[in-house]
Amino acid sequence: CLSWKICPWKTCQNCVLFRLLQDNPPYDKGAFKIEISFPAEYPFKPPKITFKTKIYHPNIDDKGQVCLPIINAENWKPATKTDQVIQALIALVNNPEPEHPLRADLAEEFTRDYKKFMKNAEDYTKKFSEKRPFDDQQQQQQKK
Amino acid sequence: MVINLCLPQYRPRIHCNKVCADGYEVQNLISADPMRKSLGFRAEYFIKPPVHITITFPFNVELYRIDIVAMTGQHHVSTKLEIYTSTSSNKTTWEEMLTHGPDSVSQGFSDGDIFTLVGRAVLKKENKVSLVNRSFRLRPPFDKIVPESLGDESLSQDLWRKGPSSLVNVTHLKMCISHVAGGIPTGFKRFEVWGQPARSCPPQVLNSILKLYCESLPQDFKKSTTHLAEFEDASRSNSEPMELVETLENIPSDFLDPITLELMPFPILLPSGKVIDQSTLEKYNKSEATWGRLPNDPFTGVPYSQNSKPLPQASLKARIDRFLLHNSVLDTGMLGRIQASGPLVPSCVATCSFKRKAGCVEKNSEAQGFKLSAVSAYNSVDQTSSHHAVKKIKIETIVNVPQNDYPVDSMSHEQRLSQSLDSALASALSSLPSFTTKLREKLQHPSNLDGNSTCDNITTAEHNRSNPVQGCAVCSKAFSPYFKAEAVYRFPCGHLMCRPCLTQRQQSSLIMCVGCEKLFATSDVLRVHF
Repeated sequence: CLSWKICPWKTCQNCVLFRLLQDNPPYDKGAFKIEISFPAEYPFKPPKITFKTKIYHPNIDDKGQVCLPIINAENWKPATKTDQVIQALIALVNNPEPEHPLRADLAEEFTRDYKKFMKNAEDYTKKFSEKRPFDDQQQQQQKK
Repeated sequence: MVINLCLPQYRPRIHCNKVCADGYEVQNLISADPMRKSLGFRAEYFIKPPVHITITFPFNVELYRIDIVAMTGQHHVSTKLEIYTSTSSNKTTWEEMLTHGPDSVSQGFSDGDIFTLVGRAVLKKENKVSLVNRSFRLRPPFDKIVPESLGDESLSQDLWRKGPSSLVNVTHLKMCISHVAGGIPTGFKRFEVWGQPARSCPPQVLNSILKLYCESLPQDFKKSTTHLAEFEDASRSNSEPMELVETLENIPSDFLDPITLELMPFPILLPSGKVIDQSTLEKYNKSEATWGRLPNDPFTGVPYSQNSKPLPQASLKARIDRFLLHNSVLDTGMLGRIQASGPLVPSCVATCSFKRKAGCVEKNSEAQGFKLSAVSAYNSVDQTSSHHAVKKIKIETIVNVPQNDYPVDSMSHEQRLSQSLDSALASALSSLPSFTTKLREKLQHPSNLDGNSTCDNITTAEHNRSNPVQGCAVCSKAFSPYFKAEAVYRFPCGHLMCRPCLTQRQQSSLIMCVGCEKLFATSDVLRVHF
């Protein structure tokens, strides 16, 4: 099983910035900034999730847009809680859905050559992602 | 924290109405000197009961327990005790007590104070008694310590709660030794009152009591309680915003809409068991309508059906309104019903009232056409949010207003609806030359023509439709809004009959209409009001 950490990074007027930290490959080498913005009509309109850090993932495009069914305007229910949304996001990042890709090339790589995908994702994470917070790095070293 | 209010640092004053024995003064009971305290109180040997001992506290207190240890008991000894409390407004304040000392004021109470009996005890074999206030609740910052009890041999009695402040807002405590048997002098060894400052105490008083309390504690205990004083300071420094926050925090969670987390001015129970506000539901229905979906439960997504639909929660609304009335800090705009502005979306309230009216319609076999239309309107409200239905409701409400002063209380909804339509039609056609209506009017109720031209239009329209004969079918008495002498009954066929004629003709459960000679059940004959 994969474990993820989410820690609030910064809050501005209508959005919350999160850092997503994963402990398992291929995204365990860095931190990902995520912005969740809440529209004025919230909770009657869904919040928007964008990745502020580039990520090598078939369901997340270059601009950081995520295709998450739970926050789709059509499927949105006002009773949906934000932690359910985050859980859904974590589940999507952990288990990419190559059937509904935003980046078809990555989806193909994911299904055809999983090992190559993992390696690319890891390299990409190392190259583009943010540094993990210091205390978290220490924890990781202790584990090793 | 439950404190022994008889300890000298809390500055109680004690008074006895009889002479005390030398060395056994009543002040011994609250003395700081352990020697004097161990002697206790005893009245002079010639004193006979009743003896009153009154303790006055410098701040109002909430009583928890009163412990009394009588003189060491011998056999055949019994002491009867009565406990009284009193709340007085004109008392020496705590600050005055601290600055001037207890000597400046001798007797804390005046004869005008009204004492309430809150407890009674008879000491026979046992020489200890504790009277306990069962409804006592600890509250912060006084929520740490509960005093040790007197031991197994003690007698336990309840303190009675009489009136709102008899136990929770006490200034004077009077103990009356009403009866002593066995030849011992009146008096007792120990007297302790446990409690905490009353809710009405100002924060400064609370703070200084807390300080005194902390000082009296052993050293190691002090540490754990210092944060209490800090808490006190913190709460005092920003008391005003705290008050608001407190009120907001005090809102019961079931008064809040689970979706918007706002107080619900009009709570609605959903089929899923959740309660949300009507405005939330309307917004949700609107957004669902943009996706072309039927109104459904926001939590389950299941569309409403005949048997599961949102219902107004009147009892919860009453509770919320009550809460708002008692907590005026909140926005007063929240009170009452908020009239929805903009386009009206059919709410379940309208649906419900419609259903009730539709129910009325079903009972009445007279107006089949109206029944159909009303039921179909009801269905369309129920299932879709079409504007057609909305308009119907609107028409109905508008129409009802001007007719309220016209006495047609017993008429069902569809009658009034048709009546209004008829009146509208009549007023529209009135400009056209027409002789037939006038003629019929004259024929049917000649009495109406003499004086009441104001409601003529409406009455005519109504009578034309449902009452072909405008008078008693037997005695031909004319009925009008001014005819109040007798009750009027209507047959399902539309004929009217006055009560005397009706009772004359009624033989069994069936009754024959004189007008058309048909038999009807008596239950179908309805009383009408003009």
